[in-house]
Amino acid sequence: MTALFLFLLAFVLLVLRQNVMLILVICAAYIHLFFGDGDVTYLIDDIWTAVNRNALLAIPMFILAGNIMTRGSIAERLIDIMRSLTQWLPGGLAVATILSCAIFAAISGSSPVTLLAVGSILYPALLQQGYDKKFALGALASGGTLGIVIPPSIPLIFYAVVTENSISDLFLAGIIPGLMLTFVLATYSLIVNRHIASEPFDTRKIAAAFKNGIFALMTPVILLGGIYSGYFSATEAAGVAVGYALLVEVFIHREITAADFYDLCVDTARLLGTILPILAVATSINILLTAEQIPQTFANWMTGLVDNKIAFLIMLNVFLLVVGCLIDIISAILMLAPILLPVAMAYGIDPVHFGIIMVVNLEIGYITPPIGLNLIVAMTAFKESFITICRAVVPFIALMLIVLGIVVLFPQTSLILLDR
Amino acid sequence: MARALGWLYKIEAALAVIAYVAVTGLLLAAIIARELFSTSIWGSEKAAVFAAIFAAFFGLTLSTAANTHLRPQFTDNWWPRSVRPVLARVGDYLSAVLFIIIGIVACIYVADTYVNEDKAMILYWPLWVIQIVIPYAFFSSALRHLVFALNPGWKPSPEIIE
Repeated sequence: MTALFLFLLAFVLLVLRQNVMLILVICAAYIHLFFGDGDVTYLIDDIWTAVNRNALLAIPMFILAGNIMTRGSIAERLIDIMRSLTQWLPGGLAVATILSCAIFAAISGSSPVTLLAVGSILYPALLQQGYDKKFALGALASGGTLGIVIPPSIPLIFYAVVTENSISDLFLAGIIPGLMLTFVLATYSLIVNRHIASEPFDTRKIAAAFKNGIFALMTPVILLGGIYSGYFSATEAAGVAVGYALLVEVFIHREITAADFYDLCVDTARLLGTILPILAVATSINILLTAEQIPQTFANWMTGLVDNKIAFLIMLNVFLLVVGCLIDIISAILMLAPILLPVAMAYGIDPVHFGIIMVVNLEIGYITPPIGLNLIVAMTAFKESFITICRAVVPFIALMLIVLGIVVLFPQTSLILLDR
Repeated sequence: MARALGWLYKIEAALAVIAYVAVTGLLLAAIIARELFSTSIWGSEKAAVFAAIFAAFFGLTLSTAANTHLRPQFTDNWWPRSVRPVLARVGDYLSAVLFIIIGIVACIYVADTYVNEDKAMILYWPLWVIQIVIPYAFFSSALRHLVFALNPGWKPSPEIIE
């Protein structure tokens, strides 16, 4: 009966137009009152514990760095590099689209921003050069998701924080699956557009493009190099990212003013103001669930029900794909990772590998209806119908599912760089 | 009232920006001190965490002021068009009440910390000085919702932020 009231309470708050944070806070308070020790101040204590963590520093700093780097003309610079590198290939612009999306998304940390920034330049260019409209839409909508698993990845940081895993390990584990996804989509783009004429290889053009955009391109290299050579931790890398982004955009590209930086900080604070309280409350609920041994009970129940690891993995992936269709990636990670991880570990799945499985599944959710964010953004930006965009991404979803299957069945794809 | 809220927004935004500058500065200073001068800056990472906490809770109030909190909207269409503005005001009144209740609970928590003289790890600063931002953010958000409920015209259109 008490549990029924909890659902009823959440439903009433939803109908009365309350935001996600308030709904979670009130539900958490209810859980503390009726399922916990009956003291609501523990909720604030849990919120404090959740935000008072060094690892959490990485989130605002990487978001701020991404905002700074994407404020200027970085998309244009990256696209120039990729175009100059691939123009000699038949269908080279299609490959450049995928590569630009992958690198820009890794730097910006935002899938829809990538779609808009790269798409605004490359969508007209693709159509002008005779590429199929459906292909162009699909490539841009799905290419925008590639940066989600390529480090530095914000969803992977959230997963690391909420499950108390190493951010550095998750970054390392994301490299091969990210490259695999990029390679598969780029190869597909090359094959379907092989009839489109190429241009001669131009070393001068490549040199000029690199001179213009090398500083942006170096961002992931500097950050990952610094982390894995031991110069700084993943948390400190976030501070380095902001410092480097400011250095490049203020002194080299000269595209950010003090007023711009102020606005970017406020934008970052607002974004964090919506996400961090949710993280804090979700942590509070998870602490209580763990104290009541609910994830462990769920894990025991699940392993009793399904004793085959492959069957569990199939169920898990189908579930996560459905979740990805309905909920945004951060909320899904915050709510589900602490509950599903003990279950996955009961089947012998490595927690880092599980994080990659989860993020790749939810990444596909960006381009699956009904509320795939990239579908909605592409529909608005390119003024095409929702159905047209949905049809355009179908081959890309199929390819991403194949890569997902490989990542799931071969844990080495995630763990080989960790020597596990 | 609108002017007062505008000033409040500017002050909170400025404090959030200062906090982020502090976080960046502290993290970079720690790396430079360690790598170039083989020394460490005492408590720099913890101080950066506290600055980030300030920025996050000011972010909460800024997000309330800009109406950018995540809110599932699928139930909005369940109601007749004529009822929706009334429901929106009721929603804002309810949000204000809920934020006030959480703010009071947060005050009780911070008061406990003050009475117990709890100190921050590493830095040994009084914890209540940092924690006070929690009830502040809840009360500031309550004020915004109350004003939106009384004067719906002042409520910004919801934005999608990613």
